[in-house]
Amino acid sequence: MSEDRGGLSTPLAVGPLGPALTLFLTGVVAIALVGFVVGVSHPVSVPTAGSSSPSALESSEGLPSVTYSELRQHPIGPNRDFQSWPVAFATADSLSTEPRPVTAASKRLALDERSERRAFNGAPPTIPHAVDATSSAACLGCHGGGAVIGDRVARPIPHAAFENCQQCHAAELDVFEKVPAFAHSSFEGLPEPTEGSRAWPGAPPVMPHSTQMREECIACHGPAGREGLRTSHPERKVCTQCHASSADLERRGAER
Amino acid sequence: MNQQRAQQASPFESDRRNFLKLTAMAAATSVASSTAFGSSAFGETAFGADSTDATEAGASDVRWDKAPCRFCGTGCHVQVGVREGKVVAIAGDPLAEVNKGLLCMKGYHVGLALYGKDRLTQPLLRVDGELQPISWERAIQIAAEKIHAAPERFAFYGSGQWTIPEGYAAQKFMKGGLGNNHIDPNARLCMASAVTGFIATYGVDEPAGCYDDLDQCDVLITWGNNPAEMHPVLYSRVVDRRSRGETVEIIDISTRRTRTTEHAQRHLVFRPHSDLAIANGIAHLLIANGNYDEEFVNKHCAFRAPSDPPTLPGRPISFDEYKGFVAEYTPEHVEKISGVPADEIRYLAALFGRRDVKITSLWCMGMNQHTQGTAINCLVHGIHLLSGHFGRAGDAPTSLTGQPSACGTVREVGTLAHALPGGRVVMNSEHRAQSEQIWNVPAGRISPMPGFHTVAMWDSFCTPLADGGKLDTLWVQVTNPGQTLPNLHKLFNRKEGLEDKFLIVSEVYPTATTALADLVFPSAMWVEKNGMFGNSERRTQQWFKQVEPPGDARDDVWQTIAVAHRLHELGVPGMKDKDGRFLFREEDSGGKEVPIWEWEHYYDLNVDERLFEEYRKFTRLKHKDLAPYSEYVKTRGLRWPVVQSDAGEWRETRFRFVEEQDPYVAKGKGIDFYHSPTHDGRAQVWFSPYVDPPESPDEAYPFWLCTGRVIEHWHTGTMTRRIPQLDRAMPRAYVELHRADAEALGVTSGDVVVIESRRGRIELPAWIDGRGQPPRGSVFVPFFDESKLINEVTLDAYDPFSKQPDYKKCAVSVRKLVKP
Amino acid sequence: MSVSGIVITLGADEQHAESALKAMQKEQEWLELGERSGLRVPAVVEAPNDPAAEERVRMLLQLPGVALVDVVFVGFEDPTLAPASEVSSDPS
Repeated sequence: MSEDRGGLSTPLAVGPLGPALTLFLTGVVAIALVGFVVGVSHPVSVPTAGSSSPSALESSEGLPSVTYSELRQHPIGPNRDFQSWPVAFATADSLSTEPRPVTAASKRLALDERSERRAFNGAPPTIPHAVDATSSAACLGCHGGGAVIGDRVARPIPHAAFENCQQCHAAELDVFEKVPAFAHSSFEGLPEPTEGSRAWPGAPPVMPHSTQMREECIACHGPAGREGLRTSHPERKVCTQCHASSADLERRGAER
Repeated sequence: MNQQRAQQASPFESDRRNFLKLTAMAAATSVASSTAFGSSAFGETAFGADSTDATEAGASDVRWDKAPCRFCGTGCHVQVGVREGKVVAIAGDPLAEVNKGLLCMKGYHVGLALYGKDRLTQPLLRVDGELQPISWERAIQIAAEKIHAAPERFAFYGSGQWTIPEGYAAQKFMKGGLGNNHIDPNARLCMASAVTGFIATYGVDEPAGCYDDLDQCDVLITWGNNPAEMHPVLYSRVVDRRSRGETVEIIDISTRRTRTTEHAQRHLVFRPHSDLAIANGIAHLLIANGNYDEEFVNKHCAFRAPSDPPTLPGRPISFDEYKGFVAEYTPEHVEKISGVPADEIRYLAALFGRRDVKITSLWCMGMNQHTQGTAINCLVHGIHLLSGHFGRAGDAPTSLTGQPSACGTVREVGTLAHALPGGRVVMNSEHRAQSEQIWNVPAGRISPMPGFHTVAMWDSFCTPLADGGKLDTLWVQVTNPGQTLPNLHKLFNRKEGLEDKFLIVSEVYPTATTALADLVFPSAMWVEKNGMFGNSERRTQQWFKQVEPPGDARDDVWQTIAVAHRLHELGVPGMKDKDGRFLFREEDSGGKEVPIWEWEHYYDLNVDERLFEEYRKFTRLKHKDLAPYSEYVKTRGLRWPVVQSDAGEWRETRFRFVEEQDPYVAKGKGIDFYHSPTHDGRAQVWFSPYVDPPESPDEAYPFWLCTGRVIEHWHTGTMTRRIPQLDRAMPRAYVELHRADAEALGVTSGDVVVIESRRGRIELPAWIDGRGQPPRGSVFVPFFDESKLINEVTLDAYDPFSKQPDYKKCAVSVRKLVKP
Repeated sequence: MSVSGIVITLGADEQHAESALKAMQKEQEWLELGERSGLRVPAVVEAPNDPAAEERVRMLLQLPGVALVDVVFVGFEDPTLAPASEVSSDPS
């Protein structure tokens, strides 16, 4: 985050507007509204355009999901969750203002959050917000390098970009009037791994998951990753120098 | 927030506009510039992950094995992760050439398809209107008795989801056992026109090209096809080339805007049915401009036109006659018929006229579910042949299939009312003799009369015997006709309450079909059994059973063999071979019969392998040679013909009819259509005129209705709707409307509208500017939702040769539902 | 009068992005472009009324090279609709 945030330099002449304007603009920017390409961390209730009442905005418990009939007929731009909402991005620094060690609790939280969006460890996560633009450029706008939007974070993708993101990632939003689940599932997916094995205490742990579609370690273990998953030594860039992948998990030898 | 802004706004009334602009720009700038993380944030993160209370995930006790995906005809391979007897994870298989490690959202969740809580786990019999659990012993006995009572009134309805051994067992049971040809698959509804198109053009079924074409083509033309949603992995294979800096032009020729269109450079929207005119228009310009491939045509092509009365082989015509026929299709005339601008037709024709670009055409249901399906298939092959865009990597007319083994089982094993394995037909006495010989059954066992094709089969089954119905017992395996048949009121729902009809359904979940079933067999699915599939590019694939089926669910092959054996015990002569032995006799290495009809002994040997090795003997006739079972165990599938080299290696074929690729093309031939309908090595370039569709919008029913699919759900959604991630993403059916039509009807997104045809009506929420956008005067409805059966509305008119119905167009009225 | 702050996200193809920028620069009448930051360009769209603004945004979205247009701020001033002392964020 190297941009000059304080100045809010705009190409328009500021003219004689003075401190009041600055105050106002700061207000605009500071108001961290639900997401630009919308929100990224809450499991439910992403707002859509139909529900743009101020009271909804003020609610801290997320927003009520809207019914299908509330959808606008003429969306502006590709993302209807966003359109009529003034939105500002917070700074990236707001994410990591102070160093926090990974704790059992933060790790658990991170893993739980991950599981919420995945049928099993290794499944492509579902998309917790509305998506109307299907080009990968639209997705990468936020998920390319990661972005902070209000109190939410768009995580960067851990694999090479493909052209058709929604080939694998299903949008989880109820676009339709809420209907009950079609059927119940007894599937129990492979859980998120918690820890790689270490040869001795202090030895670098082996990767506890396969690297398939997860080649970019830094996406999840870097600063844009969840707090409980971040590396203690981000200055070291060659992860695989010390952290071995597991032949088992990579299914090496599954040649049949 | 509104408050805050109002307060701030007041001092600037003098220049509100500038102020607003300034504010707007400030907001926009702050958003635009504050996106990416800088590396500086790194230093502030956490310390080491020391001991957590977490336990080992135990991922290493997951056993991984390969399997082709259960869903579409693409034929991706997945790695199936199994722990403690359950599928717990799925990964793309990096060793698979088809998908190279990638999958689509359905594929990644395919393992969940096994674990819907309402799996059928015991045989059920309808007693007093309710399905009641019964034993397998009784279930098999009841089925056998029903068939025994009148074998000639029994029909078997199968599927392109049948594994190869399942289809083969059913085929042998019917044609080689009962001497009854009433066996047809749901694939009749999905790719029968592709088959007739290939046969009329090349004399032999299935594409000459393969998916490698997608890596090589300069231009991809999608004809009424939406691979971005329906064959996503294949479409990615093309569009991802752009990420690598390659250029590939995509031209989408379709009747509505879809996700495929978003990656296309050109989008030609045509009036339903008028694809015939577009293809003829291209052919006309190629000849008129003199840039057709004269050398290719002179060496490898002959010309053909419809005969009177119409027959699949048609009649031969000269090049000049052909030229005369297509001359009518000037760009302006085509524009009049199709609505596609004349210049776009010129552009397409110019493209085909170039030898320096490689063009691949893809199509699927759009061209196949068409009352002129055979004709349009032939025409598209025709323009590729006429322009010589054939036989080089990247130059190919390729039809895709929607089901995982539409090719492997239906088309190759020949589970169609007129077919025998390996490209044979029941009408041909030699073919019958060959089949009788391999099956070791007495001469004359196989009937020369084709059985009922799908639409006729269900019509007959739903008609009381007293009113001329010819069928009374029907066994359905691996498909859901209660949802997929067109004009359901006529072809399925009528069965309800008919006393003399008995419906047997092998299924894994309750469906629209089991709702009317009298007897239900619970089936094992996918990796709960051994299996083999054959995908759209001639690739035969194998997998092993990896988990136990739930409860009393059992393999479909076992079910067929168990019923066959019970009929054998009842003394049905057809269940014996020439030597008086059971039709499905299998022996152990010591020559002792293994009672595979008893479930406890079914897996004493690999029945799949035994059936496949027997079936393999059929495959040489049409040069669709398959390798031994053991070769498929080692690979992620092999594309036939698979021929053994002198060194003993089994070699697959990427491009058929092409020298050095196809082992059956002699040296020096270049290209040889060795199954030519004219027996001279030539493919047929067809002319077929544009004809009007059987039903068009009129005053009473002013809209076109098109039906289709969405990426989240496969087939009738019986599997994918039980996967929470996919169900949540697409929980119900809807109708896509053009915005202007919606406005005229006073409908906004979410309003319930009534879609009504001469056959039925349905209520659906409208979606405007949604997933796809139909043009004015046209609506689209996906068919996956069993609570919204759009096929109660569709038309059951079908192609005269393929007998495939047209689900893509009929006339409907659309109005806003007025609640009383 | 409707004034909207938008963020235009350009596609990764630089050639297309350039041509989109060029095309947009021609629309000075109603479109003011801010400083480009990576693939994003902040901009202000002016239009006589809200539907017209929507139409213009949609038009921008149609340009090859434009991946996404997000509206981040909408203010309008129409004496017949809103009291002069109020700026609303709600276009409806």
